[in-house]
Amino acid sequence: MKIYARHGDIPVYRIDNDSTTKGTEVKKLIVAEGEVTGHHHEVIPFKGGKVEVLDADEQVDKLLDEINRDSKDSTIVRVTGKAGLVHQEHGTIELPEGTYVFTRQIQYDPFSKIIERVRD
Amino acid sequence: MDVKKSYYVDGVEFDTMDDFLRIVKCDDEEFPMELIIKSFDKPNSKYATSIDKMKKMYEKAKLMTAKDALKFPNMEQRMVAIKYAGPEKIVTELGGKLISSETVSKTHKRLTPKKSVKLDGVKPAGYEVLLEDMFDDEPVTFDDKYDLYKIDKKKLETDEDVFILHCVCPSTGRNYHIFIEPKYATKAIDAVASTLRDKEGSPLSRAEYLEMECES
Repeated sequence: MKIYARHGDIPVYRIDNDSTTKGTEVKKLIVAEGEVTGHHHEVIPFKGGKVEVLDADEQVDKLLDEINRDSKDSTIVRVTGKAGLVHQEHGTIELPEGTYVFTRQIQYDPFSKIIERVRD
Repeated sequence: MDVKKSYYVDGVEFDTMDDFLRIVKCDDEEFPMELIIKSFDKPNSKYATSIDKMKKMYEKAKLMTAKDALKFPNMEQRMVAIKYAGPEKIVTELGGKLISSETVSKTHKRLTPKKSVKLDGVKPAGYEVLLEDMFDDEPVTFDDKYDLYKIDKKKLETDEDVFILHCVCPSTGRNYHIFIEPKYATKAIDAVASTLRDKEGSPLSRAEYLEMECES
């Protein structure tokens, strides 16, 4: 697994995946939404491209295990052609053809000593 | 009969409405003003506080400072108050010691919308698909700078030193302060890498963080 990008508080990992994993095509996909601002990190295909959310099944679980990620806080997306990762405040990042895992940045609370995900 | 009113933040009791408001006002995302005001408006209770009165009290309350947070006599109260005062105030008011400053010059690919593109903020707005000619894709060069501060545990009366990382978002230019787990508070880049973890809590390595192709 390789970290490809960071889009605000969203780390984006690129993973090896064959094209047989089942996915559901979507026109565009919000991968993370601001809890208060209403801003969101969204994947939109370029013309001729395709964005699919990989269906939760054994194959996807295996993929997540291989990269040591939990399905609860991960979204796996396959891009065919090319897509853009857009947001109201953060600049647009290109997602070339491939499979990506979107997770969340974490922070440490030194008073309770708890690790929690960053709130956007 | 006298009724003692209590005010709770994160399960910790505070004696006065002003203390309560000064704390929750620091996090208006978690505690928006409307929510706070509404929660005290109980039309059937003679102990409730009216919306108008609450609004005035809320507006009058000053944001909690790190220095004032340390004046609470109870340790639990101090911890909650200082947490909400936030890492930036802890660094500036209590004199954080800079222990590592690292700057990395980066050149990353970023798609910049052309002037003709309809925008919502910096995001292309209302497009079902993106088009190649909507963007300039000249590489963007920027300095990625991280400063890591240590606050002595004696200043905070905590059982361990507190570490705070200052960083600047490369696309919005906004300043962020984030608490860092002490075991990763060695170098500033290692500290930021430690905020990206796998499901077992292992952080990215410094090398992995620096290999990242895009940041925005």
